[in-house]
Amino acid sequence: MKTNKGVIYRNIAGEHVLIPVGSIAMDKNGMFVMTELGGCIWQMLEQGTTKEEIITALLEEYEVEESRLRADVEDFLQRMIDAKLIEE
Amino acid sequence: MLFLLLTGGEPFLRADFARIYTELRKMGLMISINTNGSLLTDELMEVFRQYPPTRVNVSLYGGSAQTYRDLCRNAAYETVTANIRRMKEAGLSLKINCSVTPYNVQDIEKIFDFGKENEIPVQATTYMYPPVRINGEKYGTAPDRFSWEDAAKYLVLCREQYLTPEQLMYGITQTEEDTLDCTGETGMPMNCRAGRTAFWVTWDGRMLPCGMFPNEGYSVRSMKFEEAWQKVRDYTASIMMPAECSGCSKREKCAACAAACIAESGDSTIKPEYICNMTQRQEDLIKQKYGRGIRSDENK
Repeated sequence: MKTNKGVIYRNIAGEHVLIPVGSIAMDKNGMFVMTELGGCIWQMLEQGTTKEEIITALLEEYEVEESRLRADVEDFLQRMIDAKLIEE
Repeated sequence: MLFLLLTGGEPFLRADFARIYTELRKMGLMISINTNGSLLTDELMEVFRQYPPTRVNVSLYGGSAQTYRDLCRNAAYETVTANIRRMKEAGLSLKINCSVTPYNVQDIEKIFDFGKENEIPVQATTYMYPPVRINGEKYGTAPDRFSWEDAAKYLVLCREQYLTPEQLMYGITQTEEDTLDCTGETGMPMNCRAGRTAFWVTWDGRMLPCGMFPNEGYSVRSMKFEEAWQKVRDYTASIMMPAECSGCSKREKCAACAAACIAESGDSTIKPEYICNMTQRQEDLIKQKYGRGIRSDENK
């Protein structure tokens, strides 16, 4: 799983923003704003971190049941894949 | 910085436009381009397919080859309209800009029809800033523009191309009742994005609050960018707009801004009579034409 190379991540005034600039921008002309956690996951993906490594890292950071975290992360990643921001 | 408008003159005149554009886009900027659409090459189209711009605004100066030639003194109409269609077919986000002047006024409907046929919005203006910089510092002088009466009349005609009578009436009745105009006593600071969240850099590297200011500005070549931006912000904060406009019920829908006041009179605190008259006339024309019908609808 990796980020779409045609999408640029920027931290603008504290906001985690994704800007499609490659051919994906033909369909998605605008920008996406992510939550703090979404921005964190995106940056890990950009560094080549796998889904399991992301879940492990987040479990160390947050006090949350693994099943719930896993479901939330998988839901987020699926939505990003559906939006073509992430490639499987 | 998030949004960037590349304009000119004509930006596609630069031999290195494709490289400049691509590198800026890769930095994650949302880029719009103002162009006359006459110099679109296969190479540029390929660049735009790979890195689509946020929007391309194409100036269309006429609705026919004859008018285009009369106004622009070149025969680019067919090329420009073909290029607009080409960009549309490629899926680019487009807008047509139309500066209506006494030389192309007869084509207003044709230009809007072209936009409708190709499903491209048209933004038209009939107000022309006095070209102070190329006019020998003569403020308020624009020999090629409409009288304010005609500027109002044709702006209403433009708006009729895409607004319903109800929308036209809504546009002039949404603010408070007409009260005591021209009686404000305190000047207003600038209230647009210029010099607060936006800046303009000229071809020769001078930063200004917006491109309509005729001032020298601050050179980003001779000082640090942050320093120029701070000076632009300070300058913007020091500008006051006409006191007498501050109490006007029409100020929200009036085109009078600080840059226009300066272009019209040389002073941002002097009420621009041309724009004031134009705004009032527009309202009167819309009320005369549509006011009665709307009121009778409301009485049903």
